[in-house]
Amino acid sequence: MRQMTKLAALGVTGLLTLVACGGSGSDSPTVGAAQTASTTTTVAVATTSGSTATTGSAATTPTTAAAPAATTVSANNASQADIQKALEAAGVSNAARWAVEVVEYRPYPTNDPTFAKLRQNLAKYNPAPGLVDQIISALSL
Amino acid sequence: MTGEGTDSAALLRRCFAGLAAVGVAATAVELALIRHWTSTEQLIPWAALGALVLGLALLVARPSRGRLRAIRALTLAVVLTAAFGIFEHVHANYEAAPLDFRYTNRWATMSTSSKWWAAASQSVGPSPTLAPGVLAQSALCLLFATLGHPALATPTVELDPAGEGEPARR
Repeated sequence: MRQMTKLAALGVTGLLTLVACGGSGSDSPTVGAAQTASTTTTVAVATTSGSTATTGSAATTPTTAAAPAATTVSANNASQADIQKALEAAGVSNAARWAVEVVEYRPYPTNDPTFAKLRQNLAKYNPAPGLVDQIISALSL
Repeated sequence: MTGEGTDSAALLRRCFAGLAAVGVAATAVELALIRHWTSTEQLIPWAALGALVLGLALLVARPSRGRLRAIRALTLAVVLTAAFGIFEHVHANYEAAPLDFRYTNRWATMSTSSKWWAAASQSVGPSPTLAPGVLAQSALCLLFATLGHPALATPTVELDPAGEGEPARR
Protein backbone atom coordinates (compact mmCIF):
# COMPACT_ATOMS: atom_id res chain seq x y z
CA MET A 1 0.00 0.00 0.00
CA ARG A 2 2.84 2.33 0.88
CA GLN A 3 4.56 1.52 -2.40
CA MET A 4 1.37 2.40 -4.28
CA THR A 5 1.20 5.71 -2.44
CA LYS A 6 4.77 6.52 -3.36
CA LEU A 7 4.23 5.58 -6.99
CA ALA A 8 1.10 7.72 -7.15
CA ALA A 9 3.01 10.62 -5.61
CA LEU A 10 5.77 10.34 -8.19
CA GLY A 11 3.23 10.12 -11.01
CA VAL A 12 1.37 13.26 -9.95
CA THR A 13 4.64 15.15 -9.56
CA GLY A 14 5.80 14.16 -13.03
CA LEU A 15 2.49 15.14 -14.57
CA LEU A 16 2.54 18.55 -12.95
CA THR A 17 6.10 19.09 -14.14
CA LEU A 18 5.04 18.42 -17.71
CA VAL A 19 2.04 20.70 -17.37
CA ALA A 20 4.13 23.53 -15.95
CA CYS A 21 6.69 23.22 -18.72
CA GLY A 22 3.94 23.25 -21.33
CA GLY A 23 2.49 26.44 -19.91
CA SER A 24 5.69 28.39 -20.07
CA GLY A 25 6.59 26.97 -23.46
CA SER A 26 3.48 28.32 -25.09
CA ASP A 27 4.55 31.82 -24.17
CA SER A 28 7.13 32.10 -26.91
CA PRO A 29 4.88 32.28 -29.99
CA THR A 30 2.97 35.21 -28.52
CA VAL A 31 6.13 37.15 -27.86
CA GLY A 32 7.40 36.31 -31.30
CA ALA A 33 4.20 37.50 -32.92
CA ALA A 34 4.30 40.70 -30.93
CA GLN A 35 7.88 41.34 -31.94
CA THR A 36 6.94 40.74 -35.56
CA ALA A 37 4.12 43.22 -35.30
CA SER A 38 6.45 45.75 -33.73
CA THR A 39 8.94 45.33 -36.57
CA THR A 40 6.19 45.74 -39.14
CA THR A 41 5.17 48.94 -37.44
CA THR A 42 8.67 50.29 -37.66
CA VAL A 43 8.94 49.64 -41.38
CA ALA A 44 5.52 51.09 -42.10
CA VAL A 45 6.28 54.26 -40.16
CA ALA A 46 9.62 54.68 -41.91
CA THR A 47 8.00 54.23 -45.30
CA THR A 48 5.21 56.69 -44.76
CA SER A 49 7.56 59.34 -43.52
CA GLY A 50 8.64 59.77 -47.11
CA SER A 51 12.16 60.83 -46.20
CA THR A 52 14.73 58.72 -47.99
CA ALA A 53 17.59 60.36 -46.16
CA THR A 54 16.33 59.35 -42.72
CA THR A 55 14.95 55.89 -43.49
CA GLY A 56 17.88 54.15 -41.82
CA SER A 57 17.70 56.08 -38.59
CA ALA A 58 13.92 55.79 -38.49
CA ALA A 59 14.21 52.00 -38.61
CA THR A 60 16.37 51.95 -35.51
CA THR A 61 14.51 54.62 -33.56
CA PRO A 62 10.83 54.22 -34.40
CA THR A 63 9.64 56.65 -31.75
CA THR A 64 10.99 59.60 -33.61
CA ALA A 65 8.78 58.82 -36.59
CA ALA A 66 5.48 58.87 -34.69
CA ALA A 67 3.45 62.01 -35.12
CA PRO A 68 3.11 63.75 -31.75
CA ALA A 69 -0.36 64.21 -30.33
CA ALA A 70 -1.77 67.67 -29.78
CA THR A 71 -1.59 67.29 -25.99
CA THR A 72 0.40 64.85 -23.94
CA VAL A 73 0.03 63.69 -20.35
CA SER A 74 2.67 62.40 -17.98
CA ALA A 75 2.98 58.63 -18.19
CA ASN A 76 4.34 58.56 -14.64
CA ASN A 77 2.10 61.05 -12.86
CA ALA A 78 -1.19 61.50 -14.72
CA SER A 79 -4.29 59.76 -13.46
CA GLN A 80 -5.68 56.80 -15.35
CA ALA A 81 -8.68 58.90 -16.40
CA ASP A 82 -6.42 61.62 -17.80
CA ILE A 83 -4.37 59.07 -19.69
CA GLN A 84 -7.56 57.58 -21.11
CA LYS A 85 -8.68 61.03 -22.29
CA ALA A 86 -5.32 61.67 -23.90
CA LEU A 87 -5.41 58.31 -25.66
CA GLU A 88 -8.94 58.96 -26.88
CA ALA A 89 -7.81 62.33 -28.19
CA ALA A 90 -4.99 60.58 -30.03
CA GLY A 91 -7.52 58.26 -31.67
CA VAL A 92 -6.55 55.10 -29.80
CA SER A 93 -9.26 52.45 -29.81
CA ASN A 94 -9.93 50.65 -26.50
CA ALA A 95 -8.40 53.69 -24.79
CA ALA A 96 -9.76 52.75 -21.37
CA ARG A 97 -8.10 49.33 -21.46
CA TRP A 98 -4.80 50.68 -22.76
CA ALA A 99 -4.81 53.33 -20.05
CA VAL A 100 -4.95 50.53 -17.47
CA GLU A 101 -1.87 48.95 -19.02
CA VAL A 102 0.02 52.25 -19.10
CA VAL A 103 -0.64 52.75 -15.40
CA GLU A 104 0.19 49.14 -14.54
CA TYR A 105 3.76 49.24 -15.81
CA ARG A 106 4.78 52.45 -14.04
CA PRO A 107 7.24 53.91 -13.29
CA TYR A 108 8.93 54.70 -16.58
CA PRO A 109 12.56 55.85 -16.58
CA THR A 110 12.77 59.58 -17.18
CA ASN A 111 16.01 59.13 -19.10
CA ASP A 112 14.33 56.94 -21.73
CA PRO A 113 12.35 59.15 -24.14
CA THR A 114 11.76 56.13 -26.41
CA PHE A 115 9.51 54.52 -23.76
CA ALA A 116 11.31 51.22 -24.28
CA LYS A 117 9.85 49.75 -21.11
CA LEU A 118 6.29 50.59 -22.10
CA ARG A 119 6.86 49.39 -25.66
CA GLN A 120 8.17 46.07 -24.40
CA ASN A 121 5.19 45.53 -22.12
CA LEU A 122 2.53 46.65 -24.58
CA ALA A 123 3.98 44.41 -27.28
CA LYS A 124 2.94 41.39 -25.21
CA TYR A 125 -0.67 42.20 -26.07
CA ASN A 126 -0.03 41.96 -29.80
CA PRO A 127 -1.43 45.40 -30.66
CA ALA A 128 -2.17 46.54 -34.17
CA PRO A 129 0.78 47.90 -36.15
CA GLY A 130 1.35 51.55 -35.31
CA LEU A 131 -0.86 51.50 -32.22
CA VAL A 132 2.00 51.58 -29.73
CA ASP A 133 3.45 54.63 -31.46
CA GLN A 134 -0.02 56.18 -31.32
CA ILE A 135 -0.26 55.52 -27.58
CA ILE A 136 3.21 56.87 -26.87
CA SER A 137 2.54 59.98 -28.92
CA ALA A 138 -0.02 60.91 -26.25
CA LEU A 139 2.42 60.46 -23.37
CA SER A 140 5.34 62.39 -21.94
CA LEU A 141 7.85 61.79 -19.18
CA MET B 1 15.53 16.30 9.36
CA THR B 2 15.46 14.72 12.76
CA GLY B 3 13.70 11.54 13.85
CA GLU B 4 13.01 10.22 10.34
CA GLY B 5 14.74 6.86 10.46
CA THR B 6 17.17 5.68 7.81
CA ASP B 7 15.04 3.61 5.46
CA SER B 8 14.34 4.30 1.81
CA ALA B 9 11.05 6.01 2.71
CA ALA B 10 12.99 8.59 4.68
CA LEU B 11 15.29 9.10 1.71
CA LEU B 12 12.30 9.65 -0.58
CA ARG B 13 10.79 12.13 1.87
CA ARG B 14 14.05 14.08 1.86
CA CYS B 15 14.09 14.03 -1.95
CA PHE B 16 10.54 15.42 -2.08
CA ALA B 17 11.48 18.12 0.41
CA GLY B 18 14.51 18.95 -1.74
CA LEU B 19 12.35 19.16 -4.87
CA ALA B 20 9.95 21.45 -3.06
CA ALA B 21 12.84 23.71 -2.03
CA VAL B 22 14.23 23.81 -5.57
CA GLY B 23 10.75 24.58 -6.94
CA VAL B 24 10.28 27.42 -4.48
CA ALA B 25 13.67 28.94 -5.27
CA ALA B 26 13.23 28.64 -9.04
CA THR B 27 9.72 30.10 -8.93
CA ALA B 28 10.94 33.03 -6.85
CA VAL B 29 13.67 33.76 -9.40
CA GLU B 30 11.19 33.47 -12.28
CA LEU B 31 8.69 35.80 -10.61
CA ALA B 32 11.43 38.31 -9.85
CA LEU B 33 12.71 38.25 -13.43
CA ILE B 34 9.28 39.10 -14.85
CA ARG B 35 8.66 41.63 -12.03
CA HIS B 36 5.53 39.87 -10.87
CA TRP B 37 4.53 42.59 -8.40
CA THR B 38 2.85 45.34 -10.39
CA SER B 39 -0.61 44.72 -8.90
CA THR B 40 -2.11 43.29 -5.74
CA GLU B 41 -3.07 40.05 -7.47
CA GLN B 42 0.49 39.60 -8.60
CA LEU B 43 1.61 39.46 -4.97
CA ILE B 44 -0.46 36.32 -4.30
CA PRO B 45 2.17 33.83 -5.56
CA TRP B 46 4.75 35.54 -3.33
CA ALA B 47 2.50 34.82 -0.35
CA ALA B 48 2.18 31.22 -1.51
CA LEU B 49 5.97 30.95 -1.73
CA GLY B 50 6.21 32.34 1.80
CA ALA B 51 3.81 29.64 2.99
CA LEU B 52 5.92 26.96 1.33
CA VAL B 53 9.10 28.32 2.89
CA LEU B 54 7.37 28.24 6.28
CA GLY B 55 6.26 24.66 5.63
CA LEU B 56 9.77 23.61 4.66
CA ALA B 57 11.16 25.25 7.79
CA LEU B 58 8.63 23.40 9.95
CA LEU B 59 9.54 20.13 8.26
CA VAL B 60 13.27 20.57 8.63
CA ALA B 61 13.27 21.90 12.18
CA ARG B 62 12.01 19.31 14.66
CA PRO B 63 8.84 18.03 12.98
CA SER B 64 6.01 16.94 15.23
CA ARG B 65 2.54 15.60 14.56
CA GLY B 66 1.01 19.05 14.94
CA ARG B 67 3.60 20.69 12.73
CA LEU B 68 3.17 18.07 10.04
CA ARG B 69 -0.57 18.67 10.06
CA ALA B 70 0.06 22.39 9.79
CA ILE B 71 2.34 21.73 6.81
CA ARG B 72 -0.40 19.73 5.13
CA ALA B 73 -2.87 22.55 5.68
CA LEU B 74 -0.39 24.99 4.16
CA THR B 75 0.14 22.80 1.13
CA LEU B 76 -3.60 22.50 0.59
CA ALA B 77 -3.89 26.28 0.72
CA VAL B 78 -1.07 26.65 -1.82
CA VAL B 79 -2.67 24.14 -4.19
CA LEU B 80 -5.91 26.14 -4.05
CA THR B 81 -3.90 29.32 -4.63
CA ALA B 82 -2.31 27.74 -7.70
CA ALA B 83 -5.74 26.82 -9.05
CA PHE B 84 -6.86 30.41 -8.51
CA GLY B 85 -3.70 31.61 -10.25
CA ILE B 86 -4.48 29.51 -13.31
CA PHE B 87 -7.98 30.95 -13.42
CA GLU B 88 -6.60 34.48 -13.02
CA HIS B 89 -4.18 33.99 -15.90
CA VAL B 90 -6.95 32.67 -18.15
CA HIS B 91 -9.20 35.56 -17.10
CA ALA B 92 -6.43 38.10 -17.77
CA ASN B 93 -5.97 36.67 -21.25
CA TYR B 94 -9.73 36.84 -21.78
CA GLU B 95 -9.84 40.50 -20.73
CA ALA B 96 -6.82 41.39 -22.87
CA ALA B 97 -8.19 39.76 -26.00
CA PRO B 98 -9.71 42.91 -27.58
CA LEU B 99 -6.26 44.54 -27.46
CA ASP B 100 -4.88 41.87 -29.81
CA PHE B 101 -5.32 43.23 -33.31
CA ARG B 102 -6.14 39.74 -34.62
CA TYR B 103 -9.16 39.58 -32.30
CA THR B 104 -10.22 43.23 -31.99
CA ASN B 105 -12.92 43.00 -34.62
CA ARG B 106 -14.09 39.41 -34.25
CA TRP B 107 -13.90 38.96 -30.46
CA ALA B 108 -17.45 40.22 -29.96
CA THR B 109 -18.79 37.76 -32.52
CA MET B 110 -17.07 34.69 -31.07
CA SER B 111 -18.99 32.19 -28.93
CA THR B 112 -18.34 32.15 -25.18
CA SER B 113 -16.68 28.75 -25.34
CA SER B 114 -14.42 29.88 -28.19
CA LYS B 115 -13.38 32.95 -26.22
CA TRP B 116 -12.51 30.97 -23.11
CA TRP B 117 -10.69 28.34 -25.14
CA ALA B 118 -8.64 31.04 -26.87
CA ALA B 119 -7.78 32.53 -23.48
CA ALA B 120 -7.00 29.17 -21.86
CA SER B 121 -4.88 27.94 -24.75
CA GLN B 122 -3.07 31.30 -24.78
CA SER B 123 -4.00 31.96 -28.38
CA VAL B 124 -4.68 35.42 -27.03
CA GLY B 125 -3.28 37.33 -24.06
CA PRO B 126 0.15 37.56 -22.46
CA SER B 127 -0.33 35.40 -19.36
CA PRO B 128 1.10 31.84 -19.31
CA THR B 129 -2.03 29.99 -18.26
CA LEU B 130 -0.58 26.94 -16.54
CA ALA B 131 2.51 28.54 -15.01
CA PRO B 132 0.91 28.87 -11.55
CA GLY B 133 0.74 25.06 -11.53
CA VAL B 134 4.38 25.04 -10.46
CA LEU B 135 3.19 26.28 -7.06
CA ALA B 136 0.93 23.24 -6.78
CA GLN B 137 3.80 21.00 -7.79
CA SER B 138 6.05 22.37 -5.06
CA ALA B 139 3.22 22.14 -2.54
CA LEU B 140 2.53 18.52 -3.45
CA CYS B 141 6.23 17.71 -3.11
CA LEU B 142 6.12 19.18 0.36
CA LEU B 143 2.95 17.23 1.14
CA PHE B 144 4.53 13.98 -0.04
CA ALA B 145 7.53 14.72 2.19
CA THR B 146 5.18 14.32 5.16
CA LEU B 147 3.65 10.98 4.08
CA GLY B 148 4.42 8.13 6.48
CA HIS B 149 6.54 10.43 8.60
CA PRO B 150 7.51 8.76 11.91
CA ALA B 151 6.39 11.85 13.82
CA LEU B 152 2.83 11.13 12.66
CA ALA B 153 2.85 7.49 13.77
CA THR B 154 4.44 7.78 17.19
CA PRO B 155 3.14 10.51 19.44
CA THR B 156 5.68 12.15 21.68
CA VAL B 157 5.80 10.53 25.12
CA GLU B 158 6.99 12.48 28.10
CA LEU B 159 7.33 11.14 31.60
CA ASP B 160 5.53 12.98 34.33
CA PRO B 161 8.20 15.21 35.94
CA ALA B 162 6.97 14.14 39.37
CA GLY B 163 7.46 10.49 38.43
CA GLU B 164 3.85 9.59 39.19
CA GLY B 165 0.90 8.45 37.16
CA GLU B 166 0.66 7.68 33.40
CA PRO B 167 3.12 9.11 30.89
CA ALA B 168 1.78 12.27 29.30
CA ARG B 169 0.95 11.88 25.58
CA ARG B 170 0.67 14.77 23.20
